Amino acid sequence: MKISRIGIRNFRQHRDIDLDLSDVRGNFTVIRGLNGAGKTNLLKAITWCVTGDLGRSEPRHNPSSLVSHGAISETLVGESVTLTVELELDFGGEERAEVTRSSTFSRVEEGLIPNSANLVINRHEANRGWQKEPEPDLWLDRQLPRRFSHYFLFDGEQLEKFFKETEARYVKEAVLEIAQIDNLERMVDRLQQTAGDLTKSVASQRQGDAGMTLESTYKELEQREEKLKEDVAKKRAEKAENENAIDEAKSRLGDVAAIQSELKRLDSLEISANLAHERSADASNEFYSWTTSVAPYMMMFSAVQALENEIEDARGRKELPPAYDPDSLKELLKEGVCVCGAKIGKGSDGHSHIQKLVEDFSALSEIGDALRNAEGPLSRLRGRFFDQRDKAEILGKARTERAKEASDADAKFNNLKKKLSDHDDQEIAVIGQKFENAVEGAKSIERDLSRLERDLEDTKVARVKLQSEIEAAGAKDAKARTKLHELGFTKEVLAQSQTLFDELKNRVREDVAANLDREFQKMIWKKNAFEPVEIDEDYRVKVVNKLGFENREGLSAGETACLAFAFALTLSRVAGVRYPMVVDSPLGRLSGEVKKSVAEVLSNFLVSDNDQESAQLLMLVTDEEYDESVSSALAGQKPLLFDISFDQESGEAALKESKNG
Amino acid sequence: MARATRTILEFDKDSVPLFEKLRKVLRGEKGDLTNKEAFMIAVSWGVHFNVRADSIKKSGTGPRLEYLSESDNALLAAAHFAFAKSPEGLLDLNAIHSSAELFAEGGIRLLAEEMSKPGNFPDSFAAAVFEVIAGMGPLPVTEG
Repeated sequence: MKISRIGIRNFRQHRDIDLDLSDVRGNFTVIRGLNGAGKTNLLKAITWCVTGDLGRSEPRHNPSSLVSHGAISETLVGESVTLTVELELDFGGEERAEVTRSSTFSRVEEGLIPNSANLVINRHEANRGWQKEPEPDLWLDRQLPRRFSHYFLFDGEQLEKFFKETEARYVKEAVLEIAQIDNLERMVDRLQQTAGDLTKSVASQRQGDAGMTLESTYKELEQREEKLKEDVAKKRAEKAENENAIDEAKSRLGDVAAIQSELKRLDSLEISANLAHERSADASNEFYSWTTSVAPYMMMFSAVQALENEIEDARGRKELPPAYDPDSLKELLKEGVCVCGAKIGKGSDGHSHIQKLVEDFSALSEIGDALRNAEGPLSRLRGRFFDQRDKAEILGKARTERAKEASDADAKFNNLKKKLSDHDDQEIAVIGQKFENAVEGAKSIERDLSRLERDLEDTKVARVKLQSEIEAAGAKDAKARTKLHELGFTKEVLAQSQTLFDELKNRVREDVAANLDREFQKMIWKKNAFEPVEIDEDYRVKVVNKLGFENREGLSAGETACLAFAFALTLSRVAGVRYPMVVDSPLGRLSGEVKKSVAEVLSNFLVSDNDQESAQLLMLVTDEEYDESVSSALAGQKPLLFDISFDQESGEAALKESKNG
Repeated sequence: MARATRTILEFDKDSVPLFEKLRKVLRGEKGDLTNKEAFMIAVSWGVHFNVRADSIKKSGTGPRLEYLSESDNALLAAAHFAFAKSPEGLLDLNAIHSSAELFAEGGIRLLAEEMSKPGNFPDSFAAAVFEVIAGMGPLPVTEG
């Protein structure tokens, strides 16, 4: 079975979507988009079309909540608005079907009022052409039974719930449905009812009060048993609900733990921010203090230069000696050595030149003296401050960087503070209380359930005992013998039916378990890590590790995903129909090698190993999920890739085939 | 050269609080600036922006001459040369010191105006210093 076209009108953010998957590439389609783009609602639209509800992730919904806001705002009061989801199903050959589910609402001031709901199915068969299906609900339920559709249309984020103990009833429903033995179960129920009626009939044959008493006692026991069955069922549902509440509270408490850890992080960010500010202040102080210390020289640089020029000019005016001290020059002349170290003989040009210089400057002017006094310090200042110019850049840069670090640290601190500002200690206390109440409630539910189950068993035993008494009494009564004969026959049929049902049920359960184990072990990358997967008599899926410990609750997210895919594949195999699988965020909780491995599992899911029949997989993923490793793991299957986006302005989702597909 | 006849370089009487403020607002290596550091900064500001008071009212407060280093004296000489434009001026130490006081008064007025503006004064102060540094060009090659 393949979904070859999806058409959606006015379903939440999908105002007008038409997705053609008829091409062979449509067997593997990836729809990629950000959170909130409309992926999950695409899954819900398909689920709604097939089942009339939104699946287990949104079990109760207000029908008018399905209508897109855009469509509502465009509909005037008094007018009507219709949402429609159409699926075209391809069964191979010429066998096809168009499934159209629609709901019409009237627009009133307050909102929408449901008007009508329709399911129309047109089927195409070879030699018959297109025909309208007279029983669309029945037909659809036969094709993809509602009782296991959630194993094919599901939210990957909910996978861990698939095989929880409280979900065993869904596993049972799916297994019985897939083997089509649920009718047999109903027949056994009916036979039990008939046996009861016959027993009452036999009792009523007894004359007088004794007969009436027997009949009414039996009826009472029957009613009591029925009532207890209902109570047990209710209590089991209550237990499941309570366990869900515990899980939810646990998960919220997990969030609380995360918040508390974030609060600790906030403290450490505050310390980091303070340290960054201290470092920034130190860098600023160093910068300011350096600036202050160099300011006098730097600001008077031009004046200093002017004085230095004057000194040079004074040297030209011979008011100032050369850079060499005249006394030292005189010493050198005495030794006949030049300032460069060369020998200069007396009377040579060089010797005469230096001697003349020394004579010229021997009597310095008072001005020259003053300039000479300034020359040395100015020259030293110049050297020092020019050397320090590089420091200006270093200090300025350090100051800017430290300031940026402080500002970044502030931003980190403030962002987290803002994020955590919504958290409320009161709310945490309430969640904690709810958790404790639910745990306490679980004990009381367990006690009640045990009591009810004991009562039910006792009542059943009492009824069966009374039935024997009635039969014994009836045997003495000629009138009752006919009914007694019928009762005996019914009981025999009932016993055989029960045996047949139990045998079939067990065989199917074991068959499903064996298939599930085969698929799971094939998918799982940890070879020889688990004992064969079992489905026990209460339809609890059991995964035991090689150490002999029940490990289903301890399976990793990747292993849980494999178990779910293996179960879906098993249902397909047992049913002999490759159902299309639509999965939202199958890899969202996975990372690294595990993500890649599960992607490969999904890729293998597409390939049927026993025939050429192809399966269909429609994956709804985020960019993070569909990364390079996943893309390469699935590349061999050449997926049809679409990008889904949400336009804030129009409030509509748009689908576009990706060029990178 | 005429000998110094004074022992301190004085702030203008009215500007003493301004120097006090400058000492507190700008940071030196050891915290608040000393009188001498504040005075030298004010002189350099006056010289750089060529603002020199005509006269000052003696306050009896200011850096002591004995605290001036050889470099400080060289800078004050350069400051006076910038005003006198003649090397003869360098022969009169009193004139150099008076010139410094007048430049300091001119400079502190400019700095006071800057300090009174909104914003971070040390930053605008640093910006002015950096502007000069940027215009200094490469280190002149000294011969010999």
